[in-house]
Amino acid sequence: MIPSNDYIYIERVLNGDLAAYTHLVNKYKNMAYTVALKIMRNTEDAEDTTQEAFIKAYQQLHSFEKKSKFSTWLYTIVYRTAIYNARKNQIKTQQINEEVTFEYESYENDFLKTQDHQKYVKHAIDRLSEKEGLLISLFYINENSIAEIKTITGLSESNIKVKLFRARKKLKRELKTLLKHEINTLL
Amino acid sequence: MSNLKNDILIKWIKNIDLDAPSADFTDTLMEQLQINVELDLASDEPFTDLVNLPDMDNPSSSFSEGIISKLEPKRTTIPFQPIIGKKVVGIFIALMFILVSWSFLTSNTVHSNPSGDSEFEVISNVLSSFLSTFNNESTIIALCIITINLLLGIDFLYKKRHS
Repeated sequence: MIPSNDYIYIERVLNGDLAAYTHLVNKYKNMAYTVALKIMRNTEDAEDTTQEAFIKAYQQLHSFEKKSKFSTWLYTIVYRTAIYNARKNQIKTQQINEEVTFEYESYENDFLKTQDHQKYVKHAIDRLSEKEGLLISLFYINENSIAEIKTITGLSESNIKVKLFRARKKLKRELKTLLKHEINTLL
Repeated sequence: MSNLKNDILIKWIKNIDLDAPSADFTDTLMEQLQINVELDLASDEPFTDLVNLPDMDNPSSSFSEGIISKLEPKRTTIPFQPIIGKKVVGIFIALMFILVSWSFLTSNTVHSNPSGDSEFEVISNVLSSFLSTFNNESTIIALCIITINLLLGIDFLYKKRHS
């Protein structure tokens, strides 16, 4: 189950080689941060949460049972830490939501000027709810399986599938003009 | 058409770059971990036990008093000095010896007693002869000399006891 490379580094960390943890941090920090950002909706809080999660993971590494991937185990810690911190900072998160809306409105205005799909798709994902955005990131970007997402989020498999379906539908609606243009180009 | 839209959408999503934390994220994290590791080491039980000894050995109750007494300046003991110097005492003794000897010799010549009286009579003769050497006018001087000799004797005994 575990990529052998990760296993070697985990063993080294468990044997007291702190520097070996740097490899694991560098390998998984972006996805861990993405998970935290989807929940926190604030870059500063997301970074703090990711850092906190990595520290927790290090402290609990001896309890990692190797039944799942290290990344799945790590993202579970990140997700739970983010949920906990987001509840503490609920007011702050609401203020950030307003900023996201503003950015999205500005994107629609200058849509015809740019064809940067990545930028608009990213904005559209940011417009989704916390869990929908997280599921899209885990399932499509990080290519986690439904079972792994279930482990990370604690949601049931059916619930994950429903949320993924709704998230895709919302994205299609948000990006319909862009999609039409793309289809017309292809056809 | 719907499937095509789906495929395009999924392709776009997969192409999105992940969000990335700040450039110094790893360094900051590792630094934080290093501090945590050091703190964990510091809180190790053996170390804690060593630092926080349950009962410290206590010195005796008179320890503080002993220290304080050592810190106090030493009491200055006043050495007992003789009132009159040794040289003066020597001169007086020598003078007395000469006077008594002279008186003794004089008394032997003036109040010779061939029958051989008792020792008491000899001493009384010497004393009377001694006093007569000063004539009657000088009796006061003789008494002063005797008083001074008594005082010197007392001074000698007192000094001997306290030395």
